Amino acid sequence: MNLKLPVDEQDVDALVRGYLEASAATVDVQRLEREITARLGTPVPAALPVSEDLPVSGSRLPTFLARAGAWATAAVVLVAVTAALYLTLQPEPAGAYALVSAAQQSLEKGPDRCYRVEGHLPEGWLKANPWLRVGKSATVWTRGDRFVVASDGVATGDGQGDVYWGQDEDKNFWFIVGDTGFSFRPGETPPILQRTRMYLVLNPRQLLNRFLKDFDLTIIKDREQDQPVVRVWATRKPESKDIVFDTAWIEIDPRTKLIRRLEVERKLGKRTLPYGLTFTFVEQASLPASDYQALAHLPQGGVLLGPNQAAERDKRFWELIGRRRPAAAKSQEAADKAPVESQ
Amino acid sequence: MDGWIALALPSAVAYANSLVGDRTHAEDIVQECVCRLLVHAARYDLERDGRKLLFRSITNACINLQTRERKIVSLDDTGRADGAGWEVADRTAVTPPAAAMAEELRAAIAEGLATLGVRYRAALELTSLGYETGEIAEMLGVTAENVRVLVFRARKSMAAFLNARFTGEASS
Repeated sequence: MNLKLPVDEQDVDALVRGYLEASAATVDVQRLEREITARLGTPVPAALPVSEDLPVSGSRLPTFLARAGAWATAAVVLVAVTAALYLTLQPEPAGAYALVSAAQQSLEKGPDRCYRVEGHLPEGWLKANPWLRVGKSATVWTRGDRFVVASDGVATGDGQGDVYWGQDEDKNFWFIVGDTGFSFRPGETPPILQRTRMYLVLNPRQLLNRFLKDFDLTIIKDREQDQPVVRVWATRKPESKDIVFDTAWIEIDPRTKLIRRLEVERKLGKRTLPYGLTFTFVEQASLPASDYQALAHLPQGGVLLGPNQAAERDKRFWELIGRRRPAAAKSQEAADKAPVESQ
Repeated sequence: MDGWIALALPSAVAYANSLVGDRTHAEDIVQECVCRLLVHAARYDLERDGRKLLFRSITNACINLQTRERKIVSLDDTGRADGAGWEVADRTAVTPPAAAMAEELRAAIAEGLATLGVRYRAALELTSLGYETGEIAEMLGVTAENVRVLVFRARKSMAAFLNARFTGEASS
């Protein structure tokens, strides 16, 4: 199928189907099944009983085979449309997008990479969210959606101390302060931590996803500089919302697709706000999956409070940051958002 | 786990994600809906009707969520439509530029869908997934005629959005 421009209303269904298929292809079915089984508390029986007293309307034959066929068709459509688009549209910075896309894939496949993180954040944010203080030095190891950050000198309710942050393969978000660890399942993470994670851009792969989706990317050639890296200049598209920074420099090794350095910065009109983060490549290695789990960083004798101790965990969390637990999530969100809006 | 669940999960999550714009929420909703169905398994012939019942349940849950909650902004998975891994499944089959363009097309479709109201989105996506008008009407709790109107307007809006994006002109 070729994409005809202008797009006809009759083509919309196929495009949407292709879009949903591409999204469906990223779903980790086995993990979801495990989580569903855990929610139910008991394994799901292989065959479920059928009610005899509840006649259900007659079965048609949309059957899963037919649906599977539809999905397969949709996949072909999306790829065909993609190819047609590539041939007909040829966006100017195709090289930049291709390079960033390849770097993102490289980041996902591994090996694990370590970056040094340096940041400067608006004072208003720091006052409202002590977790934003990344300390004098912080490093982040990452592979795919997994990451673990080691940071010193983070100010918490009890003064300063080393802090480890991370997200494991199941996207559980955790952190450890002193001898206490806190772990949150997806959907449980308190808003203040979500904002911390957002401002510190703790997930480089997601960050690259944002570059591909919401930024104009251009390769900047510097003839005087004979560096083995390609520099990509990223500027936020005007229509893109909900992003805390506006511009970025991405330095990528074109041979290995390794990101050597990444700088993000926020601007407001002609005024540059004091928000920026720099990631500098340090080393790469193959880390065991357990290194991205909280237990690997918990000191001996330490306690990890997870979803099974949610009440105690949440109580200790709010004590730790020196705030009362908000009466409602809404008020917490408003409190956390205030400094952002004041910028 | 039942075969129908494994087969339905990918498209169910994709559908829920498109409706709520949040992969974590979407997975949570799908899991909850599957659990509810399984708990009441004795009432239904899930092997035959499970998928339809699941999509109906997801539609209701997502519409309820959309009309009840304000979105939390995030760069991570919790952000709208930027869930993990939107790349083409078989990366060896496409060149990096093609993958990047696939991403651009996907992003444009996601943005176009996000401009639609949740019922318009649901009607259009369920249609594209092969459900019949009557089934969609049942899922959305509206008449079949309403569904036709929703789908007609959604298609028109999407075509206009994509044309504006790729040609710089709105369709007539």
